[in-house]
Amino acid sequence: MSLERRGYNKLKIELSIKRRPRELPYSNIIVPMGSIIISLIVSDILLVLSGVDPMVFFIVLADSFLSFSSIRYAIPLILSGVGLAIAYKANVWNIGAEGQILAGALAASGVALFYIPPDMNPVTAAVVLYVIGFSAGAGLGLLAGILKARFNVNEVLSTLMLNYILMQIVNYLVYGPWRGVREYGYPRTDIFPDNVWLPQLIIGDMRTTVNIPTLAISLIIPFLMYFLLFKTKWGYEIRVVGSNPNAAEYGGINTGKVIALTMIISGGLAGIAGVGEVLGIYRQLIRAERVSAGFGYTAIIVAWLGKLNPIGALIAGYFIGVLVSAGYTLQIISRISYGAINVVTGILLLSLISLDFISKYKPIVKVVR
Amino acid sequence: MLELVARAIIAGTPLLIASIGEIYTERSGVLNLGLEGIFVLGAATSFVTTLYTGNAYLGLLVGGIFGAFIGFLHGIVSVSFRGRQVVSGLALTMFSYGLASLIGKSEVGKPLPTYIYVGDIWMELIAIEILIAVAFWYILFKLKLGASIRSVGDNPNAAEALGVDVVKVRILSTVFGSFMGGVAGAWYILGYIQVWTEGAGMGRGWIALAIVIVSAWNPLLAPVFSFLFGGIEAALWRFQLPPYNLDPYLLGALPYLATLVILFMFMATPIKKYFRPPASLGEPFYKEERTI
Repeated sequence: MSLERRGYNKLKIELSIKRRPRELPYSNIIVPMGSIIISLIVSDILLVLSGVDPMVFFIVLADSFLSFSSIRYAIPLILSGVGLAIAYKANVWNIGAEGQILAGALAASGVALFYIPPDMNPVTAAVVLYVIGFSAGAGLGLLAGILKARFNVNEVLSTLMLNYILMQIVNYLVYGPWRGVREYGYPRTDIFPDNVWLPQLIIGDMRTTVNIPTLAISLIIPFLMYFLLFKTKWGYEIRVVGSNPNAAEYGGINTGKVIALTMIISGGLAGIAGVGEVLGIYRQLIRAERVSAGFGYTAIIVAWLGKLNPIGALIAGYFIGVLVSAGYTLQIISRISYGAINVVTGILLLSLISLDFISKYKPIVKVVR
Repeated sequence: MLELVARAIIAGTPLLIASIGEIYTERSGVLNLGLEGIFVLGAATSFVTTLYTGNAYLGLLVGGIFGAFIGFLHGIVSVSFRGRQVVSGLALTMFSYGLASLIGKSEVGKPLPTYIYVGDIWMELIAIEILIAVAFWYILFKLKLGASIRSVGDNPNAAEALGVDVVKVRILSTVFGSFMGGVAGAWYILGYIQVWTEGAGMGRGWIALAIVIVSAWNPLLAPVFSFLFGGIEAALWRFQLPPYNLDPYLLGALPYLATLVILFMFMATPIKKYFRPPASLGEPFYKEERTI
């Protein structure tokens, strides 16, 4: 890149870029932290411009750090984010967590409403429904994976299209055939029988919206996935396909298998998140926009903020959970629409990849004649 | 039937504008997933502009300028900083969604003082749009400017050796494509649905991205698919009414299902070999690692 400045001797300013011999020290911590700070500052400026007191944002954020609603939002974000981190590690661009959450929620709701006998043991019911939800999400992911592996259909677009299709199917069901008979015409199914309810965390005599089994799963999965990614042959193959597809091919790694595997894992984990939402929080299937609520897209940021490391995604998931919770509070107290939270998450992701660049490359400015 | 054709053209126009712009961006080697957000932002900003100034053409321009700004950010992050194009694009889509909702929230549902009325002149509209598509095809495939854009997208190292400023061409193509995306979103509001609600235009950007692929990155084919998707959208309205009375939600899934099926048909059949993406699409350009 060169910028020509017309001067006496035609001085030329040359901007070039050199790869640093090694990343800047502590970049694993500085890059995520730096981008969080940048995004918060820019977002606060935008909020002030739209008429919100500058301190309100930070007070709300600080409050959210200690609230259970942050954990409630962190659960689906961690589950989906960890899965996406695995997929992105293999350079498989699954943007379909939103639809995969819905697939899990839809399948679990259908089975809970029509097939689980009311006298089934709650533990058995929960296991069955988690498996069903995982399979539904994984199946949807695998569909896009097969399209990618067999026919080279761009997975970004196919997963996105499946998101919209799933959303419409869920809405069709809650407005149509599955609409509850005891729900006064609201677009939702009947409440599930209580043996499929996932128990919620109760602190003192306060009931929280955090459901214990899904919380436990979301705390265990990141470590399992870390093990899978860094200590097993499958994980090795995933990392090779992602970092050097040519080497993977010559090394005899079946790229199609890796694509399918990562789509199954990421889709399945999103499916589990969907099960947690409907069985642990709403206890009925409701409108699609409220079940998945953008978690599938926000989870993309969780994966990147965690630097595509499953344990990193666990921490990032909690932080983004705080942000989401703060976004909802802000909506209530300041008449700012919830959509505005997208400004924060968008800038966060942008500064993340920009700072990542600076930690790996060194910009050099030279003046030449 | 004729009314359906007219509706298809009108609904397809924003898709055509957005996809022609994105064809230029992708031909230069940059995949801009921010197009979806740009479309939504163009819709919101043009609506607010038109509401306050009463000038719909100023609205189109402002929508385009906001789009170009987002495209410029995408250029800086993904071309200059070599951030992954998919991630940068998605980030910008989220950012634009948020910005659109901040900008438009207080004006939801207000009636526009003026809009661009094309209902009577849809036949002229087809002619103009086909002419525009041909013009953009001519620039891309017959002029030196187009040759630079395509060379940068196919083989940036060779292009650089021949004296093309790869970074500049890529950023400018991205800014241009995003300007068109913003205009497309603006047209969607001002020339088609004529009212803004939160989230207006969501999903159209993705469909435009799919149109780029099935048009084989060729502006000449873009009108065909844009009008096809416009037609699907127009038909959805018709099928909700008697005597068909189909479910609006199932119908709503149709454009996305159609996109998926058409993408599949193009990739899984022998037509595929005519649909070669620009060779360096999505690849960052590393100047300093060039070997001479």
